[in-house]
Amino acid sequence: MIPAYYKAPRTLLAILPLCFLALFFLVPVGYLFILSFVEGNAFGGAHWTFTTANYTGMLGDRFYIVIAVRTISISLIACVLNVILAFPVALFAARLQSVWKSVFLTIATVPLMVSNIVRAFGWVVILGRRGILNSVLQFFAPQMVLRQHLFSIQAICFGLLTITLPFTIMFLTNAVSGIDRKNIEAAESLGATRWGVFYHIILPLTKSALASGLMVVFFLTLSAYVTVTLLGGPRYKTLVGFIYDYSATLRWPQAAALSFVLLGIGLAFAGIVQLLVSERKK
Amino acid sequence: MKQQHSPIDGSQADVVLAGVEKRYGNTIALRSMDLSIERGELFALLGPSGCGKSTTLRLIAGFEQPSAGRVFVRGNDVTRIPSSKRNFGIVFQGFALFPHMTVAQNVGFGLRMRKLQKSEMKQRVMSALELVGLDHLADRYPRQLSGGQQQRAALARAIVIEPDVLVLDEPMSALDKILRDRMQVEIRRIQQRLKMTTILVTHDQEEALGMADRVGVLNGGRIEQVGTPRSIYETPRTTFVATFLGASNLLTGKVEGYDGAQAAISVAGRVISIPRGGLERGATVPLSLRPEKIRLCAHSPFMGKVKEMTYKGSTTYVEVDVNGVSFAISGDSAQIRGQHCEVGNLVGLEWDARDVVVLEDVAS
Repeated sequence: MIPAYYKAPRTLLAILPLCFLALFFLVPVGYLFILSFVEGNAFGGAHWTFTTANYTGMLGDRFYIVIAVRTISISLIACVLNVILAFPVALFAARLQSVWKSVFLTIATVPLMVSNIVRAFGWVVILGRRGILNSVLQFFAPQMVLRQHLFSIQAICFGLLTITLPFTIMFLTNAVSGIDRKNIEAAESLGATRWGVFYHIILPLTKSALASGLMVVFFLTLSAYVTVTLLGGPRYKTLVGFIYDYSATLRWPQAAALSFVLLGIGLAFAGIVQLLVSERKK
Repeated sequence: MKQQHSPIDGSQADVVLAGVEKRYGNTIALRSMDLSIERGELFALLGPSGCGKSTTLRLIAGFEQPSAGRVFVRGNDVTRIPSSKRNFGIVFQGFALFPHMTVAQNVGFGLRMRKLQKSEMKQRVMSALELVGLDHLADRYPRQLSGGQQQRAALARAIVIEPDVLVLDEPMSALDKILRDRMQVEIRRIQQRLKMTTILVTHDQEEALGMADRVGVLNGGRIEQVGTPRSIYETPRTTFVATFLGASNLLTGKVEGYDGAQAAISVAGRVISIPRGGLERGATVPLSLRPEKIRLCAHSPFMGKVKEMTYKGSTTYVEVDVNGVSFAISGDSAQIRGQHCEVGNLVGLEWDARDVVVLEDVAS
């Protein structure tokens, strides 16, 4: 029971940040939403007449569909790679003693302390035409030297992994650490193999952390701009790149419409993930 | 697996530890332990925390490997065999039920890992749940169960796989006193019905004495004594065993000589005779005498002043000073009142000669 005199200030405390969010997030987003349904003019303004052309124009254009599919694919690949790479790391890290675990998690999050641009340029240095990778390949496997390792889906995925892996590792390590060691031993004593323990015990007990991790990965990669632009180059653009182009050329209604398409994709993914997680719970 | 017979014991032994040792770095958790647990018996490993009983359990269950020595189950060397292949049923401390599975799924897990047919699985799960009286809660999740119900579920999960050995790791620690007493009886009943070789790890001497066929008392990574509950309680071999299993008067005696097979030992300025040979004349020996074995009487060589009296309902605790040596006595309240026992009064003490036990270690 929370006494009334304590309740009142708590509500007040909640109101303040809510006001902030309403003012600086909901209002602009609402404005953007309205903007996405009006006609733009060539001078960065808008004719305030209702139209759905900003959306239908995109859906009818195969070019945008290709870009959208590519955007979603990149995010999904990033999700899959994250799970494959982060789970073994989490299983290892969760068994470390608490001091070493802290050290390990700090090291794992070091990439987050470096600016996105610097990280992306790091990959340019490695994957570029005269980059480290080519120099090494020249020595050992000259047939694999490419004119360019950059500007490819692989380059984008590598770049995005350096942003997202720390998050997934953190989420999963904490979740796996939270599992009672005795549960795992109980499963072993009942005849479960390593894979059985993982599939029947660890996976179900970490699925909500996994869902959070996947959503963070999906949203971060969906909205990544710097990494995609630097490593994908002009050939591998994603939806965000076009939003940038539209706003740079002052076509606000189109930029707004594309933003909402992106938001829709994100929400759809979140919905699917939540559905999968809760369905298995029954 | 190669059939191999244990070096110590005959075919009756189900679990044999032969010279098992466990070191963590420089600390020795277990010193060269030899132990043989017979088929169908309930064997209790009893000791205070840090005595090595958990380590012993983990070695037997296969969660850890010994630094030296071997572990045999039914004559097979299982030292290097992982726990998943040992077919042991384990009831963990705190039960360790899988939180995301129902009771039935928890109990069925071991059968699922053994890839049993659905119908057989269902039937065996139900009969295990019936055995522990939990069949009506099969679809509940562990968090919806009380402590006692969780324990039953954990027990059902361990026995449903028809294990070679059932291991109970501090099974009562999460239960309150009343439930503990009831579950002790019930687990014992189920164990005897299934005739399952069972190892009970506990720090609770009442639990060990009340449930086990045999008890092994551990101290400092070493087994101090193995025997039936009665024998280790009534004839403890060491000071540790004497004091860990209930209260005891630890006395110091001096061997004065022999009268036939009786050793004459002086205690508190009086000489008592104990039916015991092999003691060196003139040696100082530690003795143990249980408080409830001492009776009060009017006349005896051991006369002393009552220093303290505590009424505890059916029993009364009395402390008597005999020649500067303090004796603790615990006896029937009515009997003690009948002896005009009051603080400051002079009373006599008597006991049967065989109740004084000569301990093997040096009294501290």
